[in-house]
Amino acid sequence: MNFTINFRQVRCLSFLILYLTLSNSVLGAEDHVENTNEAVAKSWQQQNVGAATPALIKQEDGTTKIEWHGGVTVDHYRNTITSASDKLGTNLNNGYFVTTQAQSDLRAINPNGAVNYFQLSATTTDDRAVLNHHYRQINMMQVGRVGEGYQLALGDVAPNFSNLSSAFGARGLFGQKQINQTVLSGYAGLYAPSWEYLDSTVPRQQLLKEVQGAKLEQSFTEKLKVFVTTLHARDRRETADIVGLPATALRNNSVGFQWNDGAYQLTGETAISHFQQQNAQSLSGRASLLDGAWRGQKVSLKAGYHDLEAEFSSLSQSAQPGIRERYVGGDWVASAWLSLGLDLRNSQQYTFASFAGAAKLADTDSGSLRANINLGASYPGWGITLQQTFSNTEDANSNISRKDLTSAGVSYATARWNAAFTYGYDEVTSQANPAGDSHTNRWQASASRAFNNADELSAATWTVTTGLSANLETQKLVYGLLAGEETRAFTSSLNVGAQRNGWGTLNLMVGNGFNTRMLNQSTLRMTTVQFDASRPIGEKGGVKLYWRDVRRNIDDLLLDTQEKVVGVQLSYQI
Amino acid sequence: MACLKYLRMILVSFVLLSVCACATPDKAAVSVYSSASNLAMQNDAKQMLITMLNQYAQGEISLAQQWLEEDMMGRQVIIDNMQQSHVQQKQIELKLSDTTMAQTNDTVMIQITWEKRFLRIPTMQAQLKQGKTQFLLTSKHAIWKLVGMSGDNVFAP
Repeated sequence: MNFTINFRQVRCLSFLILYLTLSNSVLGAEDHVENTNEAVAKSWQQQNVGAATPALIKQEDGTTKIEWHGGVTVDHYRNTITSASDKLGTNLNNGYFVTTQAQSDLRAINPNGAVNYFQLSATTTDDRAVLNHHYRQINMMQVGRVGEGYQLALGDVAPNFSNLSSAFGARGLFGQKQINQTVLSGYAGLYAPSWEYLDSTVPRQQLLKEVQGAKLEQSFTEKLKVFVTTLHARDRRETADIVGLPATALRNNSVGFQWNDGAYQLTGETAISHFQQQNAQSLSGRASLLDGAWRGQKVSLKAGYHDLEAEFSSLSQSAQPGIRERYVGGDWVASAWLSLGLDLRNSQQYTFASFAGAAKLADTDSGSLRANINLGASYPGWGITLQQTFSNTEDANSNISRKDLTSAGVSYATARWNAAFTYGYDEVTSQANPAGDSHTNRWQASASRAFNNADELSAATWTVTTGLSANLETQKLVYGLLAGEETRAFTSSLNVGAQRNGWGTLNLMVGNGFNTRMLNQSTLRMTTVQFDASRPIGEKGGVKLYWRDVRRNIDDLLLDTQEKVVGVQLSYQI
Repeated sequence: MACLKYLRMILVSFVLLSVCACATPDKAAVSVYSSASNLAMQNDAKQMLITMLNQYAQGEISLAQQWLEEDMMGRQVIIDNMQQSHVQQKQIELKLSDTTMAQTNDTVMIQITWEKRFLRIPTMQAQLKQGKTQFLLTSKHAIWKLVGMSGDNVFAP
């Protein structure tokens, strides 16, 4: 095994756990004396805007409550695959396969409301279309404890400190502690695609990355919070199967604020990063963002500015280096039957400036205007939707690309009937890639009807739903030798579903379609049939039979593909 | 075998945390805790992501883009990629595998290995793209939105 645990991290985090646990024992008592439950809840909500509302747990008898939720599903299925172009047509394999998925969530709810939990989700299969490299995979594993104003988690954690610092998934330890109006959060671990990657069960194509980060957040008033973050990341050398991959190191520090005054919201952050790659020049980058929103009774507005240098680095999957964008938008409920929306955005993409070329890659102006009309009392259930979207992009060589998309739809919805019809027209042109210049017409229509035995006194015990849908798209090229050539794509489907309490469910879908091709090539046809029937076994078990037959590009010498899957699924919920 | 070691380490941690919990004085009959990581939230987030990818593959770009957070950085770049690929790629089919997840509070990271098959305009030649992408999703008022993605761009034309 060419991977070793960084015991320095583990030791630091062990002290953190011990500190948080002990400090909870001491500080928690004071907090409880000074704060009512409502005050604590309010405080926690302020620290976790947008998160789920905190729950109140009261254990009347003073005992610890153990809960275990989860389930197991076992699929045994047979694939019959034919593909004229082998793997270019499908990733499925011929043969019989078994796929087992298990989920477990074990919780101990203590008398004081703290929760200890252990979650595990795993898959085993002999089907390489489900797991590419190995017969088993841990999808998610986490053990943790959540209590009054603190939280600890070990395993697959996703620290989300801010947009410009840490917002990603890692395998390690995460801790958070609230002391009065201050929240301290931290994490340490490894950035790697999976647990199997850590022990080299699957091929390693990148270096393991050690990551550590911390966030300190202070509430100055009920409305204003200020935070600082820091992170360090460093690749472990020679931990990949590819020899000679250069190791990197990253430092990032940020400071930001959140202002939340009910109708008004304003958030801002600025960060600086330092990135060093082995045997290469170091890069320092800056990034800043400011987002605001106001929500009135009939009008809501939002606006923002993001500026991330191309040299900027972070562990945030939200942060896209080399972006400078500004946006403004709003929604207006003009009357009981009309609501309008408008969005405008300018987005510039940058790369590193060098003697070889300009730093700016693209400059895009875009916008959308939408209207929703509710025909209300005059025509109950009827509505109209209109939307116009545009996008103009100028690239580094002054090539212009334009997209104009227009759509209009009418819909009808009642308790038992649903119907919709939409028409759209798109124009796309690009001086950089004129071969794709085209005009596209789109039609979509659907209708569904539900039948059941519900009445004013009782709920339905059986339900049958039927639905029909059809889509047609015609795309005409408007440039070059192929100007005037057209392709048409059509799909339609019929759906029938039935469900009866205690008996189970049944679903059937039959679909077909075609794609015409340019230059007098033959038309590509496709068919789809899907069927499944499920029945409960006892209160926790179930069995499901399924059959799927998909055929694409029928009889085409190069593209003909057929996927037939027949299987049975057994499930048991804990 | 190393996986068993991690599993053992986590089980030991669970026991230690339980011991710590027992050592904590029973001072409060009523307490408040934040939302612990739970499987239902992860399943909801994963379902939202699969719905968005299906809408993209079926060409319903306006529906797919509704799952992008409005103040998401680089939002317009993703929408442009979606629209441009829909013009140039027909019969888009996405196959997903090797899904792993991580969660803390209302944030879920989902990593997916994908294979994208399509016919490219104008020749309708079959093409295959493969990649691995990390999607970052957050929940506000029980609605999951995509706030970031890194790795290979599944929407690239």
